[in-house]
Amino acid sequence: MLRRHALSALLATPSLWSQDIATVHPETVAETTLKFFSPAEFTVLEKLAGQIIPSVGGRAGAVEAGAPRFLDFLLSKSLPKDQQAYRAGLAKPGSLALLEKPWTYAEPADPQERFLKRLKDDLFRATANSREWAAGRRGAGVVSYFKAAE
Amino acid sequence: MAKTYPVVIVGSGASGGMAAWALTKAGIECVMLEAGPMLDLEKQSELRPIYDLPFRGFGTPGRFPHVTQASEANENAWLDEKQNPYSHPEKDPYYWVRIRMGGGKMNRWGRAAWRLSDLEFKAKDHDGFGENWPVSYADLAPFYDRVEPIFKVSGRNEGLPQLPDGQLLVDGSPESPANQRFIDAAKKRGIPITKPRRATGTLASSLNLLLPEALATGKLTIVPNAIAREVSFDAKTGLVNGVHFVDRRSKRDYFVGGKTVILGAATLETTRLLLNSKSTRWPNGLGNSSGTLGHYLFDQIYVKNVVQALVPEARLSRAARGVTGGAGYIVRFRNLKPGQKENGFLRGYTYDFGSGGGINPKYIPKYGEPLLKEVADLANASFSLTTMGEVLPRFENHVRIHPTLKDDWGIPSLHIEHRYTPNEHAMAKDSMEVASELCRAAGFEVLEAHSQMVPPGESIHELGTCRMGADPKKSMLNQWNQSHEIKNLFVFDGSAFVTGGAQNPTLTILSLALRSSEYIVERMKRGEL
Repeated sequence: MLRRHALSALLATPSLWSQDIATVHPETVAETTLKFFSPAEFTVLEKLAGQIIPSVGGRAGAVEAGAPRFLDFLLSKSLPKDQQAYRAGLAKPGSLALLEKPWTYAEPADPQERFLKRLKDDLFRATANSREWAAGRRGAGVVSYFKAAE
Repeated sequence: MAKTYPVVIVGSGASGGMAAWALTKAGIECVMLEAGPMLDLEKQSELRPIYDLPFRGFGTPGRFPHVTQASEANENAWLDEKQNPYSHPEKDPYYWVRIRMGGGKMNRWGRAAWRLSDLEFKAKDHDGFGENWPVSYADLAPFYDRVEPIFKVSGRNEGLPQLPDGQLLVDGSPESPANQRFIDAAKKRGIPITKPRRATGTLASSLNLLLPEALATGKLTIVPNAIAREVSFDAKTGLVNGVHFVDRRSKRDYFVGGKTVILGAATLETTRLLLNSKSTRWPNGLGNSSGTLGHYLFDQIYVKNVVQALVPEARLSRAARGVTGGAGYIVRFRNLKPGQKENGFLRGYTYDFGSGGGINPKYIPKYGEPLLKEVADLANASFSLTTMGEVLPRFENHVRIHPTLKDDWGIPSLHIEHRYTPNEHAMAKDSMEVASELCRAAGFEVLEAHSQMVPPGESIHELGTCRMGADPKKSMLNQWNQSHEIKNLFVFDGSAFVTGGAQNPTLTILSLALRSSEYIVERMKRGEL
């Protein structure tokens, strides 16, 4: 190639550094290994997740949105008191009918009710903030992110 | 090279920004020390899908134990608590929420812009508790009149003595049917309601309205990343003569000279700086013969979502468009008569309320498919209120320098002790009962009512600790935000407050800063400063 051709080819390319290279998030092609829950705990968690936020009318529920696996990651990084709440809660989750008691600002005295209500909150959030939930909803899940300053 | 400026201003937020604006426009050269970086906020932010954030929007675990306002999207905007530690008694949490960047906390303010009235300025005359301000509403009114147009405050004048009228962009928007029912229910009980008063427009902050105009005069020099650590005092003259600061990134120590020093570092940072500015002459902190520095800390109680209700006819959102929507403000209605102490508490409270939008699924006592259906049906049916109430200033609520704890720049940290008392608890309970009654009278279904206040500090309306007063034995500053004892030292931020009412304080901080800046200009012209 003539040198000036090479040069003009370079100039015609807007910028080598700003080209859009398509990439994917690892969640879309890979799965994380469990870091926090035991396989037995995870089985209980997945079952509860499917019951509390099920898939309805083809929409992703908590399981389809990968909420249990995300919670495993979140809890592996969380404070001991949060980890303890999940360990104790999944060991003895109690009846889902406890979720039909009205929500109160003060935390419920019954530990099973307290755990299930927390689990419902966390599952809902992890599901509503997932790519599966956002799929097909225009503008869903987009936030204005404030970058760290030097 | 150490230059000496006519004025050193510490802080670039509401009070520092207003000081720079007023002084430079009068031709006075100022240097401004800002502890954080100057940021181009447009470049600093970008749109990102929440699911691509490391913690799906839950936030980095444990990063902000005291900043409930921090979300994973905005975490980087708040001051890091590990680099900037403070302490509080284990049983009495204090949520100290800080921002360090050009423009200060105004970058994230809610833009509610209310005036105080003589119910606050002359509170002692009204009910005998605490102290009066050394200024009255009449003194400050002309400055409120000038500040509101700068920030383009919208709202509606009501002619109420407890909420003085302002120079407002008239908000004549119609009420949604749900809000109108609520307003009618309140009116029947003699409870006044008005439109929100908000500074309109993007940001409406020091950064975009005050600093650019000050810079345009050519009289303002801004030093970012300059963490003030001590105000320097000259024992020979009895005056302050400059500020020592540490560069945030290099940790290099600097000194800049000033003939007048104005502190606007935000309430507790200003007081920390004064307490850290000790010398033989001032063993208890600069200008603190009264012993009041650090004391009389207060803020405002917040009962968030004191009532969460739903508007029944707004169920099935698609069928009910236009039933809900809009916001309003309940003006103080308790204890308006002198000496009154209704339901066992002094002073009063206000509410923000709004309708429309969805209801947090936690309020819906269901799970599974019925939960998802209800969430969808109630997508536009919410009605909720938040209480904001006055906190009585008390000597025992205070800050002091921690004996060992320091920040990453070696500057001694604060220990903060602030407890709410039966007065605040009684007020919170009353606000729950009144809000529930109003919602039921309006035909709303109350899902939850509670009276649990957020911890002190969380409202980000911390005030006092370097208060003004007519009596130098009981206060730090005179009516011009000027030290009683050191005539070239001024404190312009919320630490100067004597009482705070239930109104968001920023508009008053700005107006006081404008008034006292003009006093400085006048004294400088006369050669007295």
